[in-house]
Amino acid sequence: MTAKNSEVIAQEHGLIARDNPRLAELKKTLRLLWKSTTSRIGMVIVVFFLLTALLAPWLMPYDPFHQDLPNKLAEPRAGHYFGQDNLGRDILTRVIAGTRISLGIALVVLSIGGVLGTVYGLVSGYFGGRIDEIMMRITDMFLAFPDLILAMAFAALLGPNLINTMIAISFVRWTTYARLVRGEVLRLRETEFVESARSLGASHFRMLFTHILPNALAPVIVRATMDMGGVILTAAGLSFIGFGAQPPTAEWGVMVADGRNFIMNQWWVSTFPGLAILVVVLGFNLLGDGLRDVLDPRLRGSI
Amino acid sequence: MERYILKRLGLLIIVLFGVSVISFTLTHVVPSDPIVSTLGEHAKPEQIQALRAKWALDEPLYVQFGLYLKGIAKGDLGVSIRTRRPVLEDLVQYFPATFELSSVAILISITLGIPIGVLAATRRDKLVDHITRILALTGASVPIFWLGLLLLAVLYYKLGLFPASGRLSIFITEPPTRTGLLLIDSLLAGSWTTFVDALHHLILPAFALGYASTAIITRMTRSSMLEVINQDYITTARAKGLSERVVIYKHALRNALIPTVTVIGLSYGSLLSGAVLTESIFSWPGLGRYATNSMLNVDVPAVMGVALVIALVYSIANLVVDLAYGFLNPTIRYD
Repeated sequence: MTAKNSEVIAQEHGLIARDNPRLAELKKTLRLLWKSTTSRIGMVIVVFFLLTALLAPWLMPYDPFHQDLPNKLAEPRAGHYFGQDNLGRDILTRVIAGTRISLGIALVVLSIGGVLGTVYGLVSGYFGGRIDEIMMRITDMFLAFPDLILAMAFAALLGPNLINTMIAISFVRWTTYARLVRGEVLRLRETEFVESARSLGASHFRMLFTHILPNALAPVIVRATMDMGGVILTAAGLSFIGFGAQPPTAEWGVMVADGRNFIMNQWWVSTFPGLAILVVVLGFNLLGDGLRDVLDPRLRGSI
Repeated sequence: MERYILKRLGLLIIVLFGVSVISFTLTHVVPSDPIVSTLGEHAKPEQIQALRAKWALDEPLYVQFGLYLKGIAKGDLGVSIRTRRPVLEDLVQYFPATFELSSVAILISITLGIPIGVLAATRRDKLVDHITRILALTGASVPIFWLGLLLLAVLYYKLGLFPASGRLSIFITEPPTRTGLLLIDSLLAGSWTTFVDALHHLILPAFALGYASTAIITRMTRSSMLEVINQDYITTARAKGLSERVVIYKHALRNALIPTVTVIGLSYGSLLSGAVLTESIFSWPGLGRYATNSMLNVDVPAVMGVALVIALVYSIANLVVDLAYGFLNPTIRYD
């Protein structure tokens, strides 16, 4: 059971490749992760939500958009375990449908932001000097805003919808990875293997993408896991105030907003989607923290 | 030290310049027409022409940007399309409400977070520590808008302990505006009832807003306390026969606070993000709601003004953190 779950996770993070020399290290990491109670809880939650998202079409008891007006705002009961919303839609169904949207947003955002930031950081750190100075001042300007507010501005200007939410949050998130990768590159640039590659006359492109990048990638993946929760929160917040997904999309932030006016008597309309956000974000935070501890050589011995 | 502050202020100006470049570019390349949002879709051609000329929209972009910068230097941020008032006037009106809310929120986080963190560290793996852990974990994961709604549902609708929205009750007259901060203005006006009412309105939104930072501050205080407690000088202090109280609060806490101060500063920035959501839930007439409404209406001058103010506040918060850092840890040299 243990090994199986570990493998599932590793595959999801794209970490397992056949005959990879890092495979043994990876297995050790996963074993350590499983040993810590909190990261084990995190892994279980994350896997649970990923499976729910994958299997959503088969798990949903009803159509997420089907309106059952005679039973609007009906309370939780057998058959409708989370109750029904103001249009009589089944809330459990919509919460399940929402896993696809929230996890989808987070994965897309972190892919775009991660790739953008990584390339930016690679270039900045590798060429150094003037270029580095200017490129880092540009990231400072992005960092001069709190993330939600910058994302709001992008989303508002592009027009509020699901796709633009993802673009907006990616544009906010890339700076983290840019700084992270730049730091790694500065460190790697001085190592002997990079120096020997340089002395053999490797091109800039070859140096960057075959020698430096693979070694700078691990912290990016850890950071991305830790950021999943934050991105889900930001996306839900954006949708809640009307800058993200729009009704009738079964997105958790939209659903909490739907139930806003019924919170005093029909608490279930807002409570369940909000609870889903809380639990999945908690899962990613626990997993991310565990991953950070396991990969930090200073802490590794104590786990 | 002075040189360091000057250098940082210089950098701040560069960053603000960059921010205005970014916000100007963003607002001028997007497919939204300020003319249409001002005059509506059925405006006469001569009206449109007049407004284009007035706002210099026919000039090249760099000329427009120059005019914008010139305006900023004179304290003119343009006129809001939505409220039809000078943006600066709007900002001056809405900013204090947010400043008051986020300051009370961070005060709550500090007064709760640091003692709880110390308590959790000194009673490691006891009940207090476990409760703290749960508090901290949910703090980083709970959607603030949902937490706000639940607080309203329970503490306002069910128990009637707190008011639901706004900064003051309807029957209370607002004190004369001096600072814009109701807590201070009411005291200056000598009105105790107003002060209590304002405070009563602040508690719920400030708690919702500060919950996440309380969690972070608690966690950080706990872990840095644990690190410090095991060091030799603490053992020495104990060996000298100092009371546990003095050892913990005087010797250990001061050093443990250094990382905590950093997270307090970082939290202040995220409070501004949180304020947008909290203000929406609690109908708080602050900068967050102003920003939301301006952005939803693509009110270009207002959005640019808000961006500038937020970047300014955020950068100043970071500067203050760096200075506080040096104050707490004299070994840090600024250069």
